Amino acid sequence: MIRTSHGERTWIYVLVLLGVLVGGYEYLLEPQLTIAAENEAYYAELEAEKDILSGTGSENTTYEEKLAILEQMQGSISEYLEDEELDVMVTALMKENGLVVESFAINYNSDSFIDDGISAVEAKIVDVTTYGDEDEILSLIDTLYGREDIYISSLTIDTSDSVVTQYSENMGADMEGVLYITMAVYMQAEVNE
Amino acid sequence: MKDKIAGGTSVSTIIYINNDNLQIVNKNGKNYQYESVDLEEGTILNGVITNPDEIVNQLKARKTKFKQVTLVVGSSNIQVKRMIASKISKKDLLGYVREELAIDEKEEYVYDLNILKKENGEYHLLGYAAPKELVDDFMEVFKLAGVKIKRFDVTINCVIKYLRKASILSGKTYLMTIVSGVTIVSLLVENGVYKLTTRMRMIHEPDSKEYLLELKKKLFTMLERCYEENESLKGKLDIYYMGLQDDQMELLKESLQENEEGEFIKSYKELNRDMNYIYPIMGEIVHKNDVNFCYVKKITTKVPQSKWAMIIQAGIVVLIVVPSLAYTINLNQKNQEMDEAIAALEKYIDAKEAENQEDGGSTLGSVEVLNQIDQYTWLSEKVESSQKLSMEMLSQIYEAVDMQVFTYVEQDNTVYINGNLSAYNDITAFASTLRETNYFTEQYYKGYSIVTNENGSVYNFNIEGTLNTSGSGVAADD
Repeated sequence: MIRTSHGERTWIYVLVLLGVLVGGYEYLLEPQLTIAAENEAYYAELEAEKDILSGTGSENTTYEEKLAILEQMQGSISEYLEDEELDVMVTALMKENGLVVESFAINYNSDSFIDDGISAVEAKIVDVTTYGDEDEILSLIDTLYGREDIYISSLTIDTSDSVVTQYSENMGADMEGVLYITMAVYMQAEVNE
Repeated sequence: MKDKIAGGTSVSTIIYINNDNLQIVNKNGKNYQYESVDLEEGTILNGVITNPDEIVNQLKARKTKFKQVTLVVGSSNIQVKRMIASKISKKDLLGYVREELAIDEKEEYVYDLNILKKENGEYHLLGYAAPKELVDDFMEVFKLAGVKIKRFDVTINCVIKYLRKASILSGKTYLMTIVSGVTIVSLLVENGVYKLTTRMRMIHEPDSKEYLLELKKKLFTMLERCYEENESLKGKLDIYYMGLQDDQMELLKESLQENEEGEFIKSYKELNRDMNYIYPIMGEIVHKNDVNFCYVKKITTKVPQSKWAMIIQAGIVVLIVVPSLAYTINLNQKNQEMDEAIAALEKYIDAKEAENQEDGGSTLGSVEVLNQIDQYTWLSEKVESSQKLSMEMLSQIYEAVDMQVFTYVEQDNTVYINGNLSAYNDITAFASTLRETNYFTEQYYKGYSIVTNENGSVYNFNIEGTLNTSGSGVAADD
């Protein structure tokens, strides 16, 4: 039989008590607290959803009204475009402004451009080289700025004498400058069936 | 121990067993009968029975004289401690004794106690611990001999009881040395209160000439221990001997006079007793709550802690653990209620979604619709905020300058202008004009170089600017 002194027994008591408390917190209380916090957050989410559904709270429009707003917004951008369809759309935009497209490239084809996980819309990044008159180039920029689905990330207008000479002599083009443009074209997200 | 035998006379029998013999004292009224039975050498060693048959045989040969006895045993294996227990109930005293003796129990022990007095709520007591095997062996041997042990006492307890009862010693400070054969037991008593015991064994036989010298040495050893215990006792101790023959006592006194200790030496004896049987004589005294190891039930005594310590410990458990547990249970219950509420909400939402989708002809739920509206709103704001180039600014620049290269990077809000002007002054004038427009929050004029082409020499300059996105840019006058 192991004999223990009073001091040793006190330590054993304190350690056992500590063990019970720590163990109790770790295996009994803490899981319950975590569940309670998760439940609270989820319940608040559901409450908000309920408010939306019932047209109460901050979202006081009905479901039908919301659908109408969404449809109107969807109209501001095109439906999902395959890459070749995107080429046709961009080239047409250039031509409408009197420009000649020298090159077109889709250099980044992913919806990850939108970094917050939104999936209703997605973007394709295109690089275009086009040339024409100065006025036509400025007009194109104005046109692009008028659209709700195009985001210009960079552009360079080169109207230098050397470029004009190069294009005129080599390609026989009647032009005043070249526009290099990189832009994101937004469209409705591809629906995966 | 009273025992009625044939003839109606009240007798008591006390048996003391030491290494050499059995001492039997029969008391019949005021008459004492003494009998000493020599045991074979090695029958008992320091209270431990090594030859049980010898004892059984000796007891059997005499058991017609007695049926139940008081047994007195001495052994250095039996531990004793004087203690004062306060704020403790009587039933917890045995546990207290066990605590105080704090024996590292490699073998099992039997505990007992003798309450000397109770004063101001405090128990003054002697605590004893005997190896269970030692007790069991004696019980077994006496049982085999057909002799019932009514009391099982230990020598030191008997001595202390005896000394407390002796009126001549009451309240005195003294060293009592009891000589019984080759065993010497010395007790220090201070102001009538037992302090310590020293137990020694003599090497020489009582009839040898070295015996006296050894006795003297033992006395000095004992005195040394007493002075270690309490230095102020030096020169104040009365020294008593019990069990020494008169001539031995005289010789001891004489030899000690040379050391100036002789005057304190006294012989203690009772006139009508045979002091050779001092232990069985002492064993006759019985207190109300006295030592009796034959009650084996005392072996399994709980070990109580201090009552208050237990109450405090239990209190801590109640104060900390119980509320924590109650809180956890309550939380668990609330979580279950919340689960039910969530399930009800989910059910409501599912039903409402189904109803809405049916009415609106869409596969989207309300939340999804709202989410998509948020996405389109986000997109609209993003595209709008990216349209930082002012068409007015571009027209103005292209009209004023023979532009060579214009570059715009949306992420940095930066434009780079590279153009030609025919006169040096026109460059600075253009830069100043541009700065005044507030199209840029920052504008850096990077310098110029003269370039010669087919039309002659021109000034090719560079300007870098950070676009003002607050929309406060204004068209220049020129």
